[in-house]
Amino acid sequence: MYRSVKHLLALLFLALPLVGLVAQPAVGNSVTDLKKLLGIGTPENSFLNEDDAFAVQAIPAPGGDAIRVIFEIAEGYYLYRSKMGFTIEGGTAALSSAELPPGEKQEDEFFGLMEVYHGRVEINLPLERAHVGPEEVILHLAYQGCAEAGICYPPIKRKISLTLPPVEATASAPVDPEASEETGSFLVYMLAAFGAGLLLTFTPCVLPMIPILSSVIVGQGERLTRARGGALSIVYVLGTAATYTVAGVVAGLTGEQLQAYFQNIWAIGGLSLLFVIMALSMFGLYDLQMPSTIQSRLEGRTRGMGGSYSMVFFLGALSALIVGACVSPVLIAVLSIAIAAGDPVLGGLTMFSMALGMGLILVVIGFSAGFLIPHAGAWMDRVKQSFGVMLLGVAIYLLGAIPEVPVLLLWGALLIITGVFLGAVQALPKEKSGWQVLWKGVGIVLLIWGVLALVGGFAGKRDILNPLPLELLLGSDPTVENIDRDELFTQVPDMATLERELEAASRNNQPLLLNFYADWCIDCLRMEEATFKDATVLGGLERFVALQVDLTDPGNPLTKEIKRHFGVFGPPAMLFFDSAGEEQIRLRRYGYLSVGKFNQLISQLR
Amino acid sequence: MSASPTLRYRLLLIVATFAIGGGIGLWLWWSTLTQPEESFPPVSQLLSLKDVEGVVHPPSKWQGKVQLINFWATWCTPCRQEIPLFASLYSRWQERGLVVVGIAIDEVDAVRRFGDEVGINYPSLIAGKDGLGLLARFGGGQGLPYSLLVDRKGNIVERKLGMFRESEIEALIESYIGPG
Repeated sequence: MYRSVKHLLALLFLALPLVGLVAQPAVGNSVTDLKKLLGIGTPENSFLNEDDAFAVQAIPAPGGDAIRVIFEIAEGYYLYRSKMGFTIEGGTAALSSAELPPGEKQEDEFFGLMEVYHGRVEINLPLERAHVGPEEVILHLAYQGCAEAGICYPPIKRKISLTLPPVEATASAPVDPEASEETGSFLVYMLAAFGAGLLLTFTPCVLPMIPILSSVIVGQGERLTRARGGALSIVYVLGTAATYTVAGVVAGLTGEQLQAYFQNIWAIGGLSLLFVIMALSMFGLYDLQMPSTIQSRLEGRTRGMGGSYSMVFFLGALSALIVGACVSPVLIAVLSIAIAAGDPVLGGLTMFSMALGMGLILVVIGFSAGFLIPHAGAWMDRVKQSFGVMLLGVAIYLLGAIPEVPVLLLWGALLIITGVFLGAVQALPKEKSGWQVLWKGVGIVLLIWGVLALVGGFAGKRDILNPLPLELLLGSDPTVENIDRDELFTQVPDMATLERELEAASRNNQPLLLNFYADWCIDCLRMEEATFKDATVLGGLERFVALQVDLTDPGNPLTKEIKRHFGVFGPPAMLFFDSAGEEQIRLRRYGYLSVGKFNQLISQLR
Repeated sequence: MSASPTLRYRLLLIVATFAIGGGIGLWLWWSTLTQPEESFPPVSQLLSLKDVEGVVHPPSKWQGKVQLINFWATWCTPCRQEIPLFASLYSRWQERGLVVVGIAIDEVDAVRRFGDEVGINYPSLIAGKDGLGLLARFGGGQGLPYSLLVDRKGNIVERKLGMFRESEIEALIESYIGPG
């Protein structure tokens, strides 16, 4: 029996392709069918479409005196230098002749010597402008290219809308050969970026890092000295700066946001897990230390420094990658300098100084920790435990970016357990101190908050600061509850759909909101949960056509095209179009918008 | 509880049969999905075009022949490389009822200059700038060279983006031209 079954199975597997062939409906010419079956002879199979083969973007130079056009030509494809054409319309700007870099020479038996471009090509288009303020223009591009595998694309025409920045008096700096002036403007950029970093101190870009770093410092226990606390925090900040620098370089090179690629379930989940492990060691459940042999060897080598500096550096780099991917308008502004300049060095350096600015508070905390934190004893254990709780909070905050995680239930659990630890459900002893009463009180507050969070979590809510909206309790506001984001926003998959929608909106004399969203974007989720659920916002948006572009997959060429078309750096972004279909650039906003701010914006549109 | 060997193999057989059957079903379903149902205008709409001398060639002219219609342009290097192959095919198969028709998405002067240089022995028509729309209507919007093979009944039976290999196009012509 065993053998026969085995044979039968083998026979079945062998026969499978034959069965397929026979089962294929035999219609038309047998040659064609055979070819179709084998997947050859279908024309579109192996060539990229023209926009993937020749990705193009145009970026106004920061000085307003030029446009930089960047072609990213796929491998195995090329563009003809002589077929490049650029014209500009709208506004007062006029193009002087394009500065085409030399191409690779190719002998053509018919046309003679031809120059072609491979890979990345940057073309500078110097502008003559009569108007010095910001203005909107449309750049027309024409180009033509081929695949080395043997096809040529018909001549391609594209339009890109741009907003030219105001003309600066010092706009000639980037082209100016004088090094002194260039370093001067470099220095200004660096200082501005450092200042921007300082501004970010009390935003979600930095705040979650405070418990992370503090836990590391507290975890040093008896080895903690004043110098060591400071040194550790500097190393941590340098770690974050490394990540931001790489992000800046990548932005300068490709115009992409590096961090988008790390906002996925694995990276966030992994880092959250690491924080949970660190937190548990804060509770003294175990000692998170390297094996003593390794530890003593490292200590021997870097005497007086300890072996954990590289770990702390790495932790810093990792935290910046995932925690720091906050799209705050400030971060966008700094990153856009790098993207607009298309300069990896400038991009890296600005992001580096911004990271230092962001890290200043961390270094201050690190140094003061040496003064403030006791080295041992029960008090020390309390401090460690509270940092452990904060670390768990950071882990939950990170997980909140993943829609599948019931984040309020986790918050509820954390709050309730913390409350219990604080003695919320224990009777106070007869001879109680004021401290004991206070801690029990805090414990009870956390316990109740946790219970509310659990209830809200089971009702599908996600906001820990508003776990149980009143409407939910009263059941009074069904309209708000019933409108979810799919209904409020029409999803726009590609540029063609968007153009149709824009046209239809202006025909109906309706203003239009274009919202860029991504699952990995924490501020987007916050807006979905708060701003776009608010009754006044929904009411205000009634007269609008509300569209949404989902940038969750950073590699999707269709949504990338929309992003590029409008020069949007990343989500969340709100673009407002008036009823004539014109984008109101001055209303464009990046980052989180509260109900008030959002209402104020849409009230400006007729 | 452990099933007897016989029972276990019988179960295995049943599962395998279902799996294979399901697989075939899925595959068939998938292949109907991925086989695009394309329809093109009849080839007779294609060819009321002028040649380099300004002579109009009505499409009816090549009725009953196997037609190899090649869209090309002088600005397309692979297209130009393919032309000698078409010239050779035409001279070898003309007697048996093959006609090659070149349609240049290009200007008359460039085509004339190229024709003088290389020697195009088959009908060479000019579609000019409007040729791109024509090309797209026959499923070739993506690029050049793009070729259609039309059987004696006037049906488009093959289309090809990119250059033909000589053996490939010869086998195709052989299969459609018949004893002629």
